[in-house]
Amino acid sequence: MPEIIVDGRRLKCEEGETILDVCHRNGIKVPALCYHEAVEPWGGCRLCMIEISHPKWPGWKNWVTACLYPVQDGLVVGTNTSRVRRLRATVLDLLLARCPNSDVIRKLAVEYGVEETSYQPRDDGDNCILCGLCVRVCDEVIGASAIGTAYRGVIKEVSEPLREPPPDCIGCAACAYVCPTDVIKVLQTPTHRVIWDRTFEMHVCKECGKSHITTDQRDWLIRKNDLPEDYYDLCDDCKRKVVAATQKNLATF
Amino acid sequence: MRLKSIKDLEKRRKDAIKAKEKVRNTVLVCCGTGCLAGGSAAVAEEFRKKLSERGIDMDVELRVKTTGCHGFCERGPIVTFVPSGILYQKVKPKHVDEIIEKTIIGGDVIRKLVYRDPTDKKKYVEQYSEIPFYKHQTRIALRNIGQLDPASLDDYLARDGFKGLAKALSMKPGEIVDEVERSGLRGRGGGGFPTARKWRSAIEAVGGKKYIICNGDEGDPGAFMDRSIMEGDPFDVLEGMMIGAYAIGSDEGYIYVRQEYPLAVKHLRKAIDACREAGLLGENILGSGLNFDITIARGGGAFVCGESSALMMSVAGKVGEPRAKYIHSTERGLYDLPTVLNNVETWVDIPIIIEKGGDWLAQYGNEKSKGTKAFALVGRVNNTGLVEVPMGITLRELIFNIGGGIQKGRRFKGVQTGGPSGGCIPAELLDLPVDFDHLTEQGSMMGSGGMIVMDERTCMVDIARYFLNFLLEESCGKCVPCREGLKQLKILYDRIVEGFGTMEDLERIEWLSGDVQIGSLCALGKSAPNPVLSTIRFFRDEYEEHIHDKRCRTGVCKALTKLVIEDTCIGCGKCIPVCPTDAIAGELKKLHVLDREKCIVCGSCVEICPVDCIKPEPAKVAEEVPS
Amino acid sequence: MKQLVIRPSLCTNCHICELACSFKHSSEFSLAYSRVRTIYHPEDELTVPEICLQCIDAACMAACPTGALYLDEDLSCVRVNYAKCIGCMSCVAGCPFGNMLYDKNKPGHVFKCDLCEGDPVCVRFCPTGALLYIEIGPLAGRQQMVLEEEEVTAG
Repeated sequence: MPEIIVDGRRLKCEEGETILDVCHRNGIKVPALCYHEAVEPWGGCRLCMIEISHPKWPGWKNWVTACLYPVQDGLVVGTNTSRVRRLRATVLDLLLARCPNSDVIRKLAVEYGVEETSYQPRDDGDNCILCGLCVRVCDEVIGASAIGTAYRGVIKEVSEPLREPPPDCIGCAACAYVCPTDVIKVLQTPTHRVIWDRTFEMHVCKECGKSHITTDQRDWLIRKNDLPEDYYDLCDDCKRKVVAATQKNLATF
Repeated sequence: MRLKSIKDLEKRRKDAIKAKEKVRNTVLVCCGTGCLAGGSAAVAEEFRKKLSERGIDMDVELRVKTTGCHGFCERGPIVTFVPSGILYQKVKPKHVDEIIEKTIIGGDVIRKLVYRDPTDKKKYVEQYSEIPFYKHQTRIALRNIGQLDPASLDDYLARDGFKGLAKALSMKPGEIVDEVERSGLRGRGGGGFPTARKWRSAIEAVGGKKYIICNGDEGDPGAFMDRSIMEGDPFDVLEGMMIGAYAIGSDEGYIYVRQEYPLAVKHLRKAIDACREAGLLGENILGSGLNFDITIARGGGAFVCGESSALMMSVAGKVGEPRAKYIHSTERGLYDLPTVLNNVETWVDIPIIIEKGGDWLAQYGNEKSKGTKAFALVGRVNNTGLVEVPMGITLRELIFNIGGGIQKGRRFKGVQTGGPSGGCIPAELLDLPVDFDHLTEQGSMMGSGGMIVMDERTCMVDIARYFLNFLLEESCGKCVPCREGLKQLKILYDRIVEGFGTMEDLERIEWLSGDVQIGSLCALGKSAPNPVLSTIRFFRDEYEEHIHDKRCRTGVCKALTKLVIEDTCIGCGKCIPVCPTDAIAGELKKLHVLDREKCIVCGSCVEICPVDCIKPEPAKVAEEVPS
Repeated sequence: MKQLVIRPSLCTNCHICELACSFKHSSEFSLAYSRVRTIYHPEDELTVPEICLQCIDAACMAACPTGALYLDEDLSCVRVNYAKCIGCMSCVAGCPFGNMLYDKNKPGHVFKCDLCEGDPVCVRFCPTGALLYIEIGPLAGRQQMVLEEEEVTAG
């Protein structure tokens, strides 16, 4: 079982774990914007960078992303050295220039001593920090791959294919949920949901007409879990009523 | 005709050699991209036409072949003759008749088409091998280019092609890797990773399916080594990959060619088809049991896809973004399977290493950088083109002996080595050996072999800005330091070249560059600050001049420059017609006058003036715009 | 292993369990945030306090595409790992009993009974003992996916 030393603490690890896994398990806070347990680590935001060294290689130091670097026996990790803090401050400073109106970024930036950006702010953009979580969740978890990225570099943006309402989207709005800066807009009414310029019909309860998933998501669930067509016909309230009707016949103890 | 065994291969080789020896003379017309652009296709066509008109048998008496790039692109279209060994430069279709008459039939040399020493116009060099440009080279990776028809398998066989493969198939995979290790071969694409070590980790990787990839993306501006190899000697690339496939146990290979190289794709396709037909690709190659085939994958036009992990994403049809390489590609590469990716030049060194032994290559180069390297020598040097030399040669030898020194006798200022990932090396470091390590110590790198030579007319601030802009546009955008950091660095540079720069800006550039170097995910971002930091290190005075004096001494930064015609003007009138805005007026033999209102500081007049009397001077700059 | 057991015949519809539960979890007295939901049947004048059955082979877990729902073996309780949840609400649709709940004001935010780490407040505050947290021998029918009337032993 490999052991690493994080900020002076000896921590036991499993083979194949990342440094971030070990930190989370031991309550060591490392900031990360593009990290989410539901998807594979990506290493894009660079906020989780940490300083590593190893007694086997004296004089050697490197800075790597904790979310991707695999544990190695004897690795010495610093999660809060001055160089690490400077790196994080620069990343947040640059992100603040990119999204000067984002409260989430500003709050994090202030934690690292950046009150105002030292760089030229963008004046025409939204709060997307290109963390990729929306695309990755849709790709890896939902399996729809309904959205992706267009262009590259500073003008890269998250987009539907050909900028048209995405045909593969199931309207689950998981992308909007995982977005750290609340960029993706969802318009919700009792009968419809609009996301990515596509209007989805809500799947309504046969009894009371309430809804919480789209018909496309319902179809997706039926396909994925191989269920009968009527499995989702009732909403949670009405299901409870049905169960309660059964349970009222329970004998006393 | 399928070759079913090594015996079949050797028989075909003998036949090819015999057929070649039957031909008395051969005219080789270079049809690499450079010479093609110069009209060499028409030259080749003219040769065929005129020879046919004269009734000369083109199968026995004189064969016309089109070849890949000789490397001496400055002097193209290039025509060489076998067996006489004569080289003619700047050949046009109108010269062909005379060449046939005087040289082929008459055996005489046409003076005006022969290479002349640029510093001593009386010195003519007729022989290809005696021309200093070629004489000082050791062509190993480039050994076949220019000497054969890239579409002909028989030409390749006649020049010892596939001898390496034949020998490899009689060795054990471990022995092949040992031989590569003995040669000291390190990746030629820029990373310099020991090739044998890479192959060994792929062999040790667990997993049935393994891939071989040839990186033909060559994104560095000014680099064309790999292009010339893929265009001019494609069978060599395939042979190297076949040997690699046998060594690591792969049955599928890809050659990733950048979008901008259609001729390379065409020639590689032809070579692959010829190999498949001959049974050199496919199942049971030469009866050895090796199954291997190669597919060409084309890039979409992104520099970042030259990065190996981004390349693999691109081959898989995904967005070309690199990933952190804490887990190596030899363990999890293409489709998450063990993959060996090597550069084109690395692959073509393999067959000769196996054929002649690793020690043979190791005789060249120096202790840590064995073998030779191909360089694209470009910029303000007299002999621009493709050269291959043993590593360890000094920059001075490369630029002055082979390159022939600076054009128009101007002063050397610096050389950008390694493309946008490299740095500028100044005159005082000209005696640095060119290899994997010495240039890196000075903040640059040898990289894939690009060498851009600069003279006193190059603004070093502008050069750094140029490379920054290039990388900013090519950044994939996945990680914050590169995507946002390069953008902000360029904004700071814009301030400096427009005359609004401050010393705080310079400090901020250095600070941010440090974080981009450490924070970026891949080598594009990590090395992007190299041109910035190396020019600041070696040419800091130019930066300070731009900031304090609002002056660009070379006149390149337009916002800081006004052009002035000094009284050394001889009134020749050459500058008047080249000015795009008609800003110059003057009578013959009288001092010319430049109208500043019309002048757009394009520098065309400066370039053409025979007496260098047009000089840049600091322009007046508007008051500082607050940051 | 203790289990949460309901005795509907003792329930007086006082709603104290719901108020206690919502206050503990969200610091608000709001029936919408309670994990236990009382359902009144006027025809029998009977109220059933409905609560998560902590199924071992839970349908909500099966519906979840990320594995954010997991079985806490110590408490025999199905819990939400919010670090893994992507807010798709497949679990809400998936639970056949309607015991997976969600916040109408925060789209995608789901919640469920977590047995209050082993000391359920609804049980503590229930004045009649309609809700019990007791050992009743091997895991009973309460933890099967579909309730069979005959299989329900000690209610």
